[in-house]
Amino acid sequence: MKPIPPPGAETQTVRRYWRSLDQLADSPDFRRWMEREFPAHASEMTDTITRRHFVKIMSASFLLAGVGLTGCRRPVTNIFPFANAPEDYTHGVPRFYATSMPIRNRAVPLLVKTTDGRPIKIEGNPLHPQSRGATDHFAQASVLDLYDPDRAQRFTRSGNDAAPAEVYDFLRQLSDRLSTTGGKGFCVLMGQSSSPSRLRLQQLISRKFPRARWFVYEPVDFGVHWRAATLTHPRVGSVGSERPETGLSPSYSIDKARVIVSLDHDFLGLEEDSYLHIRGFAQGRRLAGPSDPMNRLYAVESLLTLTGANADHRLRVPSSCIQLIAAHLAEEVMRQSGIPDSAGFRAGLEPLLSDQSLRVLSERTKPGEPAWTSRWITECALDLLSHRGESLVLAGHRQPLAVHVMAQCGSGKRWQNGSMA
Amino acid sequence: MSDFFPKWANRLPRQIAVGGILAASLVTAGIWYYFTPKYTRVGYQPIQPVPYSHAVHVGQLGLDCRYCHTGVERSWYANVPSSSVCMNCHKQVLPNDPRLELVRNSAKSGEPIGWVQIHLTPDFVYFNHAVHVNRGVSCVSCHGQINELTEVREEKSLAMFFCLECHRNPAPNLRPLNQVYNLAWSIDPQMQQDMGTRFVHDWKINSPQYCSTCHR
Repeated sequence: MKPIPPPGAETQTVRRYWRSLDQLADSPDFRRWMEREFPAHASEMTDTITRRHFVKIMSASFLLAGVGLTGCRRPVTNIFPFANAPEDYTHGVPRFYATSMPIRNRAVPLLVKTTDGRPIKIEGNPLHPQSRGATDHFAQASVLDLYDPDRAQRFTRSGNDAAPAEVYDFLRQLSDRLSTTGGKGFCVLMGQSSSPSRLRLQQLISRKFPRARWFVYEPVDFGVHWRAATLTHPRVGSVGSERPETGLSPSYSIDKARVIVSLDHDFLGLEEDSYLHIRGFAQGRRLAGPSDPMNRLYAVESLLTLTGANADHRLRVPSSCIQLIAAHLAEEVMRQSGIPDSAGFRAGLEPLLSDQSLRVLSERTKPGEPAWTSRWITECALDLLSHRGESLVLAGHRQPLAVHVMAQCGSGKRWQNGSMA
Repeated sequence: MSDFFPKWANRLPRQIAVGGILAASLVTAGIWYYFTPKYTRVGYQPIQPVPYSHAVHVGQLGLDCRYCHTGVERSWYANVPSSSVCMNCHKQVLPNDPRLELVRNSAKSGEPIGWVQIHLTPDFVYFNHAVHVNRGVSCVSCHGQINELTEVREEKSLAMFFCLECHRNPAPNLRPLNQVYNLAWSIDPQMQQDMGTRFVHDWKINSPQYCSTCHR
């Protein structure tokens, strides 16, 4: 980087830079200002005791003070025990609290280690039957949230602190005003949550203001997983579900899967329930003996994710081409399994099946090997079929519903039937 | 040849001599200060805000250490008791004694008593009370005959050599577990040595001597 020269001290050989319009105009005021050593508002010491002299004297006196080593005495420190000790408290022994961290679709069961009332470490709760101590990076980092100065601790109104009394007053007035109209024009914006307490409050408010409207906003939509699961498992979804708009929530036993294909699904990183998937995936790789089986992960993705980094076989394709790969994979599985296509599944895939685009993809990833991508898909399909009932195909939230449906059909045993909802 | 040594080299011998004398006196002064009880504070006996006597409570009355220092078996820290613990007895015993004014006020108001800290290891030293007392090291080994002290003072140096001495040869400081808090307990030195050696073997005591044991 070229250093910025001091104003005025420039030769004409270099390009002239200016820092203010005054300098550019080269006004006499500016010349006068520049010739002074200090700007007008800085006060100069004109006393006989200059600043330099003062510092000299002071440093000498500090030195003399130090010769006496008066600062080298140990200070008297005090121990302040409790006046009334809380029950069951031992200083120096951390306490553990079981709690949970609410996330969009559920709550992560956690165990928080605290010393002297300060949380210092967050881990998964090992006694929880589902997670068995699993956490993800968000849960691990959430200990910092507890010390976040921006954490909501008091009421704010238009970004400013508001006294509780003032807020209650405002809410009471609002309630009075709304009760005359039944809550017409009253809207609540909120994030997605699985909290039963919030649902209960929502129902209470809805009972009082029947015309109030509720809006859920999330910056990233993970609902496609639910929609795909509901679509591909229609009977279960329509009979058992009390809330048809959300339908089925897919839950994967990744620890039992022998072959996992991820279609842009970062299940070890940023996807939902990754705290369960990380643990499950690790369990599928843990070997107790030499004959133990081990899972195999195929990742098709555009970004470099943790899932791709952990994959045994990673296919790097643009995000727009995942659909293409999914269609080819589906077609290949059907072809290799030899099951008759009674439901017309292949016809639905037809518009996506194009050898030409596969060849273009291969040319981009491995120049000079046009058959590379299709060979990758063939081997992947072969592996899926050789582990019938133990294979899992996952599609990420960035992918369209079609890819999800193909993936849902591909997981487990449904793929082999060739059935599609 | 005249350019071979610069002019300032003439002053060099004198400078070396002065520097050497300065360095030597600094080292002497440092050892004088840091290696003597003045620094390790053996005998440090500050006046506490409440004249609590271990000699009366432990020596005469036979109070167990753990009645007040409740955490010693579970924590690295042997806590100073809260005022409410004192009041357990002193509600009835000497309930109006002026020496206990501070304790009564503290228990009532919730304001803690500022006891003066005596045994102070630096922050870079980790010491765990629980580990030691649970393996047969008595309070006496580090704190001396505290059951005879009217005002607590620092009895042992608690410097690094003191820790290492015992970690190299723990046998003389090991007791049967039921005598750890019996501060008046004594035994013939030869029997102590035999017993300690047996405990080291039986309890698999492997007192570590590497740096990170304490400087962790």
